[in-house]
Amino acid sequence: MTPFFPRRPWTRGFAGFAVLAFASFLTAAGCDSTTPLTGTTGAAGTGAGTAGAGGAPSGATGAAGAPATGGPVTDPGAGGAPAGLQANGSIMYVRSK
Amino acid sequence: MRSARGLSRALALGVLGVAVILVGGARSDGATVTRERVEISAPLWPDVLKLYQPYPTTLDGEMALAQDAIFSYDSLLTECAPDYPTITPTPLTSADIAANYEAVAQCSYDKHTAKPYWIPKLLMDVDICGTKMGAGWRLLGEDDVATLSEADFQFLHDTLSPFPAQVLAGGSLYFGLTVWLRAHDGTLAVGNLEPGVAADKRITMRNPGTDTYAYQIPIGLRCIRRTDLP
Repeated sequence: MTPFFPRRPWTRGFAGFAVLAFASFLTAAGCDSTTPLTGTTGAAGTGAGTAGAGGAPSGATGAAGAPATGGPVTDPGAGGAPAGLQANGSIMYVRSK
Repeated sequence: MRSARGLSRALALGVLGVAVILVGGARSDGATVTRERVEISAPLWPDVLKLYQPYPTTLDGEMALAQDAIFSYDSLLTECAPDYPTITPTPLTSADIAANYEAVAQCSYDKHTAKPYWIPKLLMDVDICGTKMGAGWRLLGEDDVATLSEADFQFLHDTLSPFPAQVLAGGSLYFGLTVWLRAHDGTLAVGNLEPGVAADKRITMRNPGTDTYAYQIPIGLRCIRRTDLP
């Protein structure tokens, strides 16, 4: 019986490379062995307290999650004042776009 | 011969695999979340007695009127502090800021007969926010309202809600979240920034910006500055 892969050194090397390449692709696409390939839509960031993180697809073919919108945060960044009412009367906060 | 063909096929597949890895990696790295700092000013107020005078007939006259008759919260805070002891010039707490709001509202009326009564044509023709607040500030826009979420509106409401009852009672007059907007088409509109309002109900009035008399209804003039952050 003819083996599926002929026993030649270069074909064994290619088979290993192809497996590694496909595994890397799956990892880059956000898949792992525990997530379904059909995926589900990630929940939108709600933005209470911390900036809402956009919902990420949980599977290779899952639809992208809705983007986080307007999650006010308490710290606008290095050197910034806390979010909320400012001394000049303005309301300031940081949100994801 | 056959092994040579197989070798070239294997190489082609290998190149394809590398390309897939590179594309996949680039897509992951490209998912960068961009943030922005949003600042919405305290309302600006005009001296209504000056707005009740005959309306200027030139743009220069309108600009002079805006410069003379309109006060930012910041300038009022500085001006009023010596005469209103409850004002804390450098407030540290929300209670300090709330007390300042209340005192500035009272002072603005006592000293300048200031109320949030606006002449639409003045809002239409003069960049009041840029003039009074500085670079980067502009009149809130219909586009701004469209891009803010319920979380943003809730945050605005919550930020103002701890204020003393008397400030909130006047809040609809001095610190409300019913505001003038620059409409999509460049004219004016009035928007409601309170939470819990359906998106298609946020614009409560459209206005061509041609009337030259003050509307005696409390619609706030708040400015906005949006700054992209890394």
